[in-house]
Amino acid sequence: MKGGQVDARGGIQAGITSFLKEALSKGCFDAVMIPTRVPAGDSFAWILTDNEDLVAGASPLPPVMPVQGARALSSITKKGKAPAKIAAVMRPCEVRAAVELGKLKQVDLANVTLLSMDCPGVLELSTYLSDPTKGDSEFSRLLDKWDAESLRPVCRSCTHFSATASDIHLGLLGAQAERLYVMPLTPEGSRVTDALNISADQELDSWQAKVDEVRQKREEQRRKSEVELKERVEGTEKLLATLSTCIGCRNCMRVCPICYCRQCFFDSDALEGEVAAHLSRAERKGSLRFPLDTLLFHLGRMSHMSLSCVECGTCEDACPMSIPVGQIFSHVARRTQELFKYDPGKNRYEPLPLVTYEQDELHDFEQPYVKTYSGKGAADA
Amino acid sequence: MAESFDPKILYVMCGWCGTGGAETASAYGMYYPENVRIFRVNCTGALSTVHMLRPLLEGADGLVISGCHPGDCHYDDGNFMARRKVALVKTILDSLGLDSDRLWFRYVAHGEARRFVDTAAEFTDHIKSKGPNPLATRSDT
Amino acid sequence: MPKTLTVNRGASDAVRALLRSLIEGGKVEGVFTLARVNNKGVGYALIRDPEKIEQAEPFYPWMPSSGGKQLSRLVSLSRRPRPLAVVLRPCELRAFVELVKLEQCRRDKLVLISSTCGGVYPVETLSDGNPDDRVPRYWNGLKAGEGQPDARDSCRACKHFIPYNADLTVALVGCGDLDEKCTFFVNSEAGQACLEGQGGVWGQSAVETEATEKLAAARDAERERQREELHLGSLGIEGLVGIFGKCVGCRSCREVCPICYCTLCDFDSAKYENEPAWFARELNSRKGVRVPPATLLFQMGRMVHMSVSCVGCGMCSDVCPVNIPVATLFSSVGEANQKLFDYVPGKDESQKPPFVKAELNELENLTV
Ligand code: SF4
Ligand code: SF4
Ligand code: SF4
Ligand code: SF4
Ligand code: SF4
Ligand code: SF4
Repeated sequence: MKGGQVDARGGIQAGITSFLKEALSKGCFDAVMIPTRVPAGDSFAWILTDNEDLVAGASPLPPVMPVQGARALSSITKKGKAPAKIAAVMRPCEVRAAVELGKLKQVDLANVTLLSMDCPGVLELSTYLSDPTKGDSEFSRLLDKWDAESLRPVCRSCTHFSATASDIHLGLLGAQAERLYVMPLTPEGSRVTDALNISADQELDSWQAKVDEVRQKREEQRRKSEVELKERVEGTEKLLATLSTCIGCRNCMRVCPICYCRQCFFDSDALEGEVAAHLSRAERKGSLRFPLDTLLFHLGRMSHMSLSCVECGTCEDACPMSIPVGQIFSHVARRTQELFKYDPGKNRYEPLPLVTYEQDELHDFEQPYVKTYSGKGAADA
Repeated sequence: MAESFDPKILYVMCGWCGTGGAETASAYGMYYPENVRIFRVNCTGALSTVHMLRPLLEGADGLVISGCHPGDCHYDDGNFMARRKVALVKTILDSLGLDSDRLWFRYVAHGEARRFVDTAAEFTDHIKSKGPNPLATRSDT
Repeated sequence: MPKTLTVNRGASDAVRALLRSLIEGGKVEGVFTLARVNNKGVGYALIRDPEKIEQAEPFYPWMPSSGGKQLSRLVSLSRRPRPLAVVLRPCELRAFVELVKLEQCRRDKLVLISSTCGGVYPVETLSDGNPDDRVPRYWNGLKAGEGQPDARDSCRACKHFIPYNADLTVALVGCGDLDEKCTFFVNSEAGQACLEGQGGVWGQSAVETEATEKLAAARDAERERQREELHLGSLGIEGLVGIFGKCVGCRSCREVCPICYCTLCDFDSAKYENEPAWFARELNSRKGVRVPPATLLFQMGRMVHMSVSCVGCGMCSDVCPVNIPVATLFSSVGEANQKLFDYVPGKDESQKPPFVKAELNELENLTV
């Protein structure tokens, strides 16, 4: 990977904001979408701003992910391309979700410069909120050490923590003290680095080596947590035990960047029915659980969106019942994505698996018919 | 168990080849098991993944889907899209340790009466040997 | 004073026995009550199989969802009613009555059973450790007529813990003998018909006791304390931004609110989706704009839509992933609005909700 360097004397966060400030002042873009601390100081929210002071005071790499960035970007560009050039400063999973939402026509990337950075992961939202000061210091430790214990489970085994489909990627790993790497990944990215006179032709070997090292650790963790998760949720009994505390609040769906539907199918009249119909369901089961269709909601949601799931864990963070939804969804997503060799958020131009097909594929899923069936039920008149 | 168990089978077929196969079968007076309920859709491509999941969670012991052979779809690619959706649903079920083998996907052409009744019978036997779908009667789904 | 029937069984058992006999006797086709889910969780259930009544936990001290809301989905307006017995907590019952008045569902053919209520624990505590560990402490508190210090904020501040509109009321608060005895208060003919043929001692007394009055006073004080703690009287825009700054916009508060029944919420509708040009205009007029926008608009808009019917059930606070005290705020605003219209949501079935009808001569002090 090739790139250049910029100054980060005030620390990583300040390095990123001063880079943004300069790019803003040089007209590389007209506004920045970036996380910033809320007035009460206890959390973070996204702002869109063209004000250099607000950019300087922002937190490009907050310790938590209260709102998935792709959702924020969608609120601006859902109805059409941004009115002016926007730089969206997002974590890699947010960039990937934004690319997916682009394919799903919920984000228009035409006037957006995606800017990502190496991501050490984030802390659990509820843990952070219970003591933000402690969370802040834990996160600065994480930025330094890049270990994983205090991270959310999905972050601990995230392998997409570095350069993705963004236009510019900022490398934190392997950089010298008080420096950041800047990697233009697209012509749009080069436009920015050129305007800022950053020569981006340096081979970033130390960055690559560090990224590989972290990725290896994450992959190891991933294998481990996979085994643990299966132990916990695999099979009808365990899965239903895990979902037995689900209260159907739909939080997981509401905060998921990929679940963009204004009206979710599972909240629509499609699942309503006569009292008599519910009674007959209750008759068959002895007892019918309310809210209705818990398992159908989760499996159905998976079937709607798991091919685009970016394993961001926002769903899990928002679950009031501490159900490992993010881990379950990302476990399933890896399987379904593997099936179609699809890596969500990687390539803006690769079509979504459910809008295309190959003639010659998936034969394992066709039930073979070899000879005339002559089982015991096959008597014919 | 297999003898007393009368499985509820939902057989979804497209309005072209799938039902055509069933019509040909009836023209020949062929027999298929009575517990098979036929549900006609215009095209298997029009089936959503939730259409596949819902019967499997809500009462059916098995679901079998038949549409036109590859290349024969009345709408060109509906059966290819259906194959993708079946693959997706089966993979989801598999990855959570749920039984994906209660869902079958098999092409049946207009004239393939034999193939239709065989599928209905074979699938019924297959489900009989598996026993009732545990999800159908659980009260915690 | 209502008639009473006292049976020699603990309260939960007595209600289970009653529900069972109602099904077995064919008086109802099913019962709707809290029940165990997979021995771990708890949720509402429509039970038909008398054997499954064992799993009913009518007074389990958690509220996984508002029973009023769940019931309204079952007996929604367009559906043909069937005879069912229903066990709800007082605030859930009030929510249900509001939904009936708001024409979301119908009351026909339902037998509504409720109880004096000691409150519930926060829903998230259902998933830490074994919830059953808290249950004995809860029942001891009930016997002593005391609330739990770790019950939800809204329960500790709830003054409507004696049900309105129940056909049968089970006395729990302050009943020292509720492990052995259970008293049903009969409030209607339907309630009376349910109890026909049940063994027990008939009598007559009032549901209100010294214990319920003491608890009501304690809760009044707690409600004041909570409101002061949040400075609700003097929030202003800064205060509201302070409270809702961390809101992630998940709308979970609305999703679980029994009063917010809309299939598609106004604030999720296309009219609140902004054109890109709107953002450009905003940037011209102020330095920065929060995205997604309109956090406060949603909160205050929802307040305008539903607070006059807010029953203070606390579901909204319970599910908020960032622990915003939504219910304390909404019920306080709600109470102010309700006072304005002399309205107690869910209390009087025949009183129309304030926004359904207007009086010629009212609210004159609001005109200038
Ligand atoms: S399902 Fe969960 S992990 Fe996957 S994209 Fe949605 S919020 Fe992220
Ligand atoms: S679960 Fe399906 S219908 Fe619901 S929001 Fe997600 S994608 Fe849309
Ligand atoms: S957020 Fe949790 S409790 Fe709510 S619907 Fe999702 S899994 Fe269930
Ligand atoms: S606003 Fe909150 S407290 Fe009021 S009825 Fe709705 S969920 Fe209950
Ligand atoms: S906030 Fe208003 S529009 Fe939205 S669900 Fe509640 S009552 Fe309906
Ligand atoms: S539940 Fe909490 S975070 Fe979600 S919209 Fe309501 S107040 Fe905001």
